[in-house]
Amino acid sequence: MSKLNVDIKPVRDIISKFGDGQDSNLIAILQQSQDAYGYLPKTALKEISRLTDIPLTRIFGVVTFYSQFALIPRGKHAIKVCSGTACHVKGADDVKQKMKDILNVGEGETTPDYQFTLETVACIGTCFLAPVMMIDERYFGKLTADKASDIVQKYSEKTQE
Amino acid sequence: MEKVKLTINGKTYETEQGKTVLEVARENNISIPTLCYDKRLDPYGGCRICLVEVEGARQLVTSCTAMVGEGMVVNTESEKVIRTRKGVLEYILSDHPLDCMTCEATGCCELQDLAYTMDIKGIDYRSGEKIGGVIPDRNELIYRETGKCIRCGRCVRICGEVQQDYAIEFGGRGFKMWVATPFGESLLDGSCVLCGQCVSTCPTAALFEKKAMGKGRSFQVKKVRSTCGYCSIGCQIDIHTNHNGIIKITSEVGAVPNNGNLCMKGRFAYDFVNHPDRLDTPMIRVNGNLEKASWEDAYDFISKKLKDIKSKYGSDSISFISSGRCTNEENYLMQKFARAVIGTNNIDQSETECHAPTLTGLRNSLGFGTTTNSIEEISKSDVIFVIGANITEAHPIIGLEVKKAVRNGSTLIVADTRRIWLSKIAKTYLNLQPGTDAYLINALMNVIIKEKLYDEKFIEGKTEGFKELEKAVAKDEPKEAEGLCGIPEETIKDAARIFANAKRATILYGNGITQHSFGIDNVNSLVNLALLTGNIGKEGAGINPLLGQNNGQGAFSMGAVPGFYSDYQPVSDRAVRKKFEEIYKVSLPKNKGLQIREMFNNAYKGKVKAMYVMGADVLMSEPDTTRVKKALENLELLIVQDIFMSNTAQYADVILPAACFAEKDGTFTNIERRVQRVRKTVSPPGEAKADWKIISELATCMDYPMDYNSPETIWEEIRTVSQNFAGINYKRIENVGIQWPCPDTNHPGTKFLYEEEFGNGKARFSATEVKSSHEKTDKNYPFILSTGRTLYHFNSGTMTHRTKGSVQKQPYSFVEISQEDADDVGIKDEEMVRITTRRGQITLSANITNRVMPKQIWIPFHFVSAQANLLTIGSCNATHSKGNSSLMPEYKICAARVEKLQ
Ligand code: SF4
Ligand code: SF4
Ligand code: SF4
Ligand code: FES
Ligand code: FES
Repeated sequence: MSKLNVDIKPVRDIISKFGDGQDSNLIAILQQSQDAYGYLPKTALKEISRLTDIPLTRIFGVVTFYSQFALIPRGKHAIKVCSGTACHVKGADDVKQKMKDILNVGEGETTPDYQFTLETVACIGTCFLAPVMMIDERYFGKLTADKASDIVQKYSEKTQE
Repeated sequence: MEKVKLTINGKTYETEQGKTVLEVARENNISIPTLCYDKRLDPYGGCRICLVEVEGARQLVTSCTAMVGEGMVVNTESEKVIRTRKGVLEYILSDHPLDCMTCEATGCCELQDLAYTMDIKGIDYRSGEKIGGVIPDRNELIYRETGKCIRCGRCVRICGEVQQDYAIEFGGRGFKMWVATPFGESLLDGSCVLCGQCVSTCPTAALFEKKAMGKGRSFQVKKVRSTCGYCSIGCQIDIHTNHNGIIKITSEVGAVPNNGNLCMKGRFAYDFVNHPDRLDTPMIRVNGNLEKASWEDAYDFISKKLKDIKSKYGSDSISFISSGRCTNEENYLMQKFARAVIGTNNIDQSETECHAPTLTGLRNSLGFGTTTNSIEEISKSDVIFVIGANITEAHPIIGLEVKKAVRNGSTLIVADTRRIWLSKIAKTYLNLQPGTDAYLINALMNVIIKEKLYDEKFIEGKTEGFKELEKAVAKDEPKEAEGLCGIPEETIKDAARIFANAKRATILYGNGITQHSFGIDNVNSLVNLALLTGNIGKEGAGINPLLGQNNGQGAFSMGAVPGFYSDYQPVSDRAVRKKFEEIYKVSLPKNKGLQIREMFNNAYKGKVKAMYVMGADVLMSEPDTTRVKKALENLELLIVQDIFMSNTAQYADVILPAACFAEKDGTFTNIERRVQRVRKTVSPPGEAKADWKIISELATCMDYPMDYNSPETIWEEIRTVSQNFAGINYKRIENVGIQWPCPDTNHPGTKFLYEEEFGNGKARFSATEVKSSHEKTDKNYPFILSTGRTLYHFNSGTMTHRTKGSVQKQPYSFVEISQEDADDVGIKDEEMVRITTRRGQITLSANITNRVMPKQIWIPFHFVSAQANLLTIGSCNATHSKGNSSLMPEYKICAARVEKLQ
């Protein structure tokens, strides 16, 4: 992975907003930092520890406890392939495999250019469209491997522009 | 404490409120299994193996958290209890590898023991999910294996609650939970101090001593109880050995004084013991080279030389340096050798260079020149005043007591020039300028007197000299102190009020107080403060000097000082001398002996011709190394008795190889006056011998027969000549040490001094005019340099530099410098810098930190590669000698320059 340069300013701003009682606001601080960075960079966590006096180990414990937090940078776009029962029956595995092939990443991983993070999710409630995937907040249904591949292709072209 | 009655398994027990059911059960030998419980930790209730049935409760309760109550009816063995516990254990075992046959912890695993006693056979339910394996970590001390972790949280809690280092924490959740360091980094990289406390509490092999792995199971190794040979706390240790030597060191929960806790040095720094560098044969210098020799030849050589020098220049041309590292028995023999065999009172030891002012100051005003109270009492003090002592590093286990006390609500005041760890948890941190301690203390007293916060009754009944004190401190207004010490007037006033209003306030001080040329004034001021507030002679109070070396206390009290025989009996007292003459069967010298510092001055001037140095690396530990080196070169005879070829030994004419603490029997006296057993666990290398044996044989060779056949026989002699030790014998201290004074064998020993009265009848205030006499900074030397200890090394480092872990964590010396100054000098973190003082220079790496204030720098003195004492000042302030033995060089302050190494 290419090394990301992390700007420390956003996390400082976030912490300064909380003033006293930062201890009890740790989760909120972490959420906002994740929103700001897209994930929780090590440098940001160390800065949080330094400014709040909360031991880094405790912060790390909290971060790994909640699945909402990510320690590694995520792609600009989150691709979530549904692996619920209906989708599974209708060939979600092919879609998933195709995604892995064209992006050259495994599940939960991010492409080296930080464009896509591939994830699988449980039923997302649109079984009538199975197999389904989501890219960011958009749904794509009745997929085949090739259709899915075209969609992703379009996204990457768009980001290239 | 209120009493309550409860019934356990049909029997009634009376106990105190505030205890848990588990505690009461165990006190009465009712066994209840536990896994997440450790006496050192807060009740947790995580593993649920300790379930018991309490009548009236809807569910089974965890006995480790359930408090006893009046009329409670408990059943620890009901069918339901047994069934449920079994279920709990089966659940824990369901994802535990069944690796016992190859597991390191076999034989000392709490999980294995429980599975055995609870008769678990064939686990039916395997979760199938194999989680975690060995966590790779490049640290050389602590092994971590997630698969064996039962998530009891003991490690995480001991690291957070007891150590307060927060180096590890649970990551993840549920079955995927593991003991994590942030980002999986090595324990070497975070806040871990490698104390191994987590290992000590882990019930399984999930945490284990790396160095012990593959060296034998707990039932295959020998285990001997002894006393740690590093700092003066005297932690009780269990040394585990196999046929090759020491494989690990542990401590038992409940052991006095450390309750199973050990620091990195005590637990792991034993690699030096069978290190190939150990001296293993006597050596004599022939034509400039040190050559191997037999013991007979070495003794003959020494005996002839000493006799020559004595007849040529007189007895007082010979000096003896004894050792706070050696046993009581050895120190006693060394002083006996100097006085009875050679006929001189020139006997001293290196602890003098740390605590001569303590000895003199406390003795003159209170009676005994020693610590007044005990370690366990710290947790009973409501105010703890720490001054000039970086306790968490130099006295780690006392550090734990202070941390515990603060956690339980005690108020901590810290006065230090550096932002030491304890300042983080202090209520008031007095960040004073170097060398202004006495101003600060006097200002505190000024406030206390002005606001009438002192203990009038105590002063009236038990002290003398209050009027003089009142007069002396009247001018030391906090406002003035603000300018000198750099602490706001209000902060000083606050601190004074907190201290004076405490029911029990204790003072803990270290070398930051004593190692000044005016150290005696500092000590006197502290004594005054304690007396003024009535904080002497009661539990949880007192004035407690933190001596540095494991047996500095013993070396003082065994008479390895110029002015006293054992038990502080003055050499100048004719009756005392007569008594010793009768027992030693020779006439003893009346001349005033030399203090260690004077010995070097006199050797430098050519007046001292021979020196016998036992267990001290004086060239490293004495200030102004260059001058000390000249002094050693001037000698006609230098005898060095040590375990390594120390810097000092390189100048020796004869070297006598000694046994280290693990290789001999005897006793050490810890900081709280507790005489504790040291036991031989392994044999010394080659021909090395215990110091007591060497001294006895040499004395015999010099026609003064010393035919002790064991340290115990020496101790028996000590008892007969030393009233305050008379009640202590080896049998009585077999399990737990006894604190002197202990005048007879029915006496339990003395937990704290002066409960009834003071040694001199009344305690004496000694009004001190504060002065500052330290070297001034100027254009060329703009920094104030101070030196001290770190957690990972000890003294001149001959032992710890040969130890894994210490070296990994702190491989080389460094100078602490503020960011501001680093910018000025133009250096970055870890860049090499040159430090120069008016006496010498060294190069080392910069450690940029906010621990030191701008214009101040700090260097540890443990490194041969960067000898801090090349920089320090050797001179003693003559005006302070006045016949009281408190000569003290100025170790702590000198002016220095910092330059970037090009
Ligand atoms: S060695 Fe000590 S500091 Fe390090 S993790 Fe274990 S308990 Fe914490
Ligand atoms: S590593 Fe040991 S002490 Fe820590 S949680 Fe696991 S089993 Fe308990
Ligand atoms: S605190 Fe002192 S006595 Fe205890 S283990 Fe550490 S060095 Fe040894
Ligand atoms: S199973 Fe895929 S959307 Fe329901
Ligand atoms: S020992 Fe009581 S719950 Fe673990």
